[in-house]
Amino acid sequence: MEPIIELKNLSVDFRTNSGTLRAVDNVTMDIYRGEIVGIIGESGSGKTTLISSILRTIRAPGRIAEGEVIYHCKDGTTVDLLKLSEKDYNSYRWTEITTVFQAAQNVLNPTLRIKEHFLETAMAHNSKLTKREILDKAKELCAKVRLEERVLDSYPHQLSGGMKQRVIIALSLLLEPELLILDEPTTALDVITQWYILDILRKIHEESGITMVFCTHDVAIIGSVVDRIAVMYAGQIVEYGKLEDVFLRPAHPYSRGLIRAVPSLRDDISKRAAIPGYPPNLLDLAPGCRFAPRCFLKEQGICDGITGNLEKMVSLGDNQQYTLCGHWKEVKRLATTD
Amino acid sequence: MPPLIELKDAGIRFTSGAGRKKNTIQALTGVNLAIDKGEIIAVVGESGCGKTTMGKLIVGIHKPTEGQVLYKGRDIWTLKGKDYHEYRMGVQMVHQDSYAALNPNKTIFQSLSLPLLQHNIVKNEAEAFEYLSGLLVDVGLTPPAIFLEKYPHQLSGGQRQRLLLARALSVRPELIVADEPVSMVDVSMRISLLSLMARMKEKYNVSFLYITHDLGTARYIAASGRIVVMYLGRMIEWNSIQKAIDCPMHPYFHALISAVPEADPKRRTEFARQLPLRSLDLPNLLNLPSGCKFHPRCPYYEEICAREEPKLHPLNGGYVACHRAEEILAQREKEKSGI
Ligand SMILES: Nc1ncnc2c1ncn2[C@@H]1O[C@H](COP(=O)(O)OP(=O)(O)OP(=O)(O)O)[C@@H](O)[C@H]1O
Ligand SMILES: Nc1ncnc2c1ncn2[C@@H]1O[C@H](COP(=O)(O)OP(=O)(O)OP(=O)(O)O)[C@@H](O)[C@H]1O
Ligand code: SF4
Ligand SMILES: [Mg+2]
Ligand SMILES: [Mg+2]
Repeated sequence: MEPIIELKNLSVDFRTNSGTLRAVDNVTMDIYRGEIVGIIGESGSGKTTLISSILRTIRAPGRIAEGEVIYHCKDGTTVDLLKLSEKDYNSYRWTEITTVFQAAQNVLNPTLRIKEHFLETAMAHNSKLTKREILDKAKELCAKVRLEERVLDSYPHQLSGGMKQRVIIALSLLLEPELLILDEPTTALDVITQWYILDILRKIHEESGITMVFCTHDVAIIGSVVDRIAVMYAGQIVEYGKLEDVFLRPAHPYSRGLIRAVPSLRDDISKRAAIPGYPPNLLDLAPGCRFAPRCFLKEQGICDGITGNLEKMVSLGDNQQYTLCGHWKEVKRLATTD
Repeated sequence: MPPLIELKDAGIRFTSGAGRKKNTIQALTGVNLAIDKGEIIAVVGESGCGKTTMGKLIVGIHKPTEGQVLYKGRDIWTLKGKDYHEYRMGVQMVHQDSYAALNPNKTIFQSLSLPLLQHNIVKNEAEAFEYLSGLLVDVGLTPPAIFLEKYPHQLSGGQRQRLLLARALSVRPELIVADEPVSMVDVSMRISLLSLMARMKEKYNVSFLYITHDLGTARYIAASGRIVVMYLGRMIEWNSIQKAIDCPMHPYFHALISAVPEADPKRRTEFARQLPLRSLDLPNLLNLPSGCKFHPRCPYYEEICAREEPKLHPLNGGYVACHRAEEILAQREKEKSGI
């Protein structure tokens, strides 16, 4: 397995009136070429900020405090995306790395028709295509994401939330990128359309081997597409591993809680429980484990909330599962009885 | 007592483009729905089927081109003065697009305290601060002081959504049209927010129209309420939530229920292909199918389905619009008892 992106000790800070907030804290992880990776985690845990640093869309008062984002080009050369000038990075945007932002509404220009978005994007990054070719491609992509052709002639406000979301997905595929990052790509869609979109993305993945990163809250639906999953909590990646391992044999108390909270149609409602408490205030972090105030191991006295917290994630043997919790054996043992 | 809100044969047509490219879209057709005080109704349906449009009709953002929207028995478009004001405060919407819904140039406190002061819900800024802090804690934005001083772009997607819910609750409305209010928060927070809504209903008798694609959560908020299923601008089924989920009557709703994912990686198969649908393709709103709007995708369709549009009629404690619903239901019952 060869990585396409290596994140090394990446930290992102936001300056606020009440102090500096570290939204992403010392994240190290590899994203492998040709894989589909999911990043899950509570609202505000730093998912969007993390991927924004790969996409270099962090704006003041935010800044990348430290770390590297190493991109492996197809020809084997590597480059630290954070060290590139804006102009040099632009040659990667859309053609190598592209994104579907959270809340598609925000990205579409309300004064432009949808087809003009396709034309503008292509012209700005790849002038080789003719107008005709771009529009043909746009039609083909719209059909792929189940949009009627009238959509190309519409303005964004004339489309429903889910339709806009699909427009953005089609747009992101226009220049055949190597890496597609999707922030909450299906949350605005009904389940049948979600399956449909995921099916399309999966097919595109199979055909082109494109690497994909999904950020999402829809833990249940992500399970049907991703190979690997990263769990984020309060700015840190607390667990990273293969889907089956993280879902069925989680190694961090937070992942276990998250997976147990997934609502379903069939189980007993009372069996589904929200994780008690709130995520910590990032401006006022207590020493030790950030999840401790909500952790069942702490509550049961198995962990004191300090010593269980590891400096950085450890690997659990050779199955490529990593965790930030020193009591992972205990978590795994309990997870088998869930 | 007339219901709090009533849609009477309500429909809306949008016109877009001009000249030869002029399109009209019938986004909503013949919707009849009454919402009582303290009632929770979940609305589900395919992306683009008209859920948001229906919500916007209720809060008066869109004007129906057919039929009426009544507030306590009176057409909302004829309300004036004090009555209009009562309706405007009484019926709030949590918008699906949480980015556009907040003024980017104002801090959260500035945005949220203004209506409170204007309508004398609080006496002064200090009181507003205390009142809003309490609500922010309710929606899980703690410590509240930090969030109140932020600008909208400084919040994550889920934080913004929770803020909109707090804002809607802050003016003590009678009905909240909540359009995908928890789509961007994680599952654990979803459950907390839904129980908050249920608590608000208990405590203040607030009604909710909960628009969602997440059937799992619909069960939490509306355990005792109703669910309305829409398809291409029409209501095609409604029933009590639990009954509807245990025993979906309309073939579209049945497919929708079957598509709800289970959080189990062992079930990751070619799922989309196993759905009880003839086709996944959504029909063109500009070129609607004849008869039953679902017939091109329906595995049960018969000749009559393409000819005649089925009417919403009572069945199994609820209502359904399908020619073959009785038959399908009987068949499914038989299969169930056969096992
Ligand atoms: N421009 C900003 N200024 C100050 N704080 C910010 C800014 N942008 C984000 N934050 C803070 O950084 C933290 C991480 O935000 P981020 O958007 O990455 O979360 P997320 O995991 O994507 O959440 P969600 O799932 O709700 O979208 C949050 O606490 C948020 O309030
Ligand atoms: N202002 C408008 N002008 C023209 N057409 C519109 C307008 N608003 C909505 N529509 C159309 O009406 C239909 C219903 O849209 P609506 O936003 O109500 O769907 P929805 O059920 O909320 O979908 P989603 O689940 O994707 O949010 C769509 O086909 C949309 O394109
Ligand atoms: S009326 Fe016919 S086509 Fe429509 S849902 Fe019923 S069986 Fe299917
Ligand atoms: Mg986000
Ligand atoms: Mg909508």
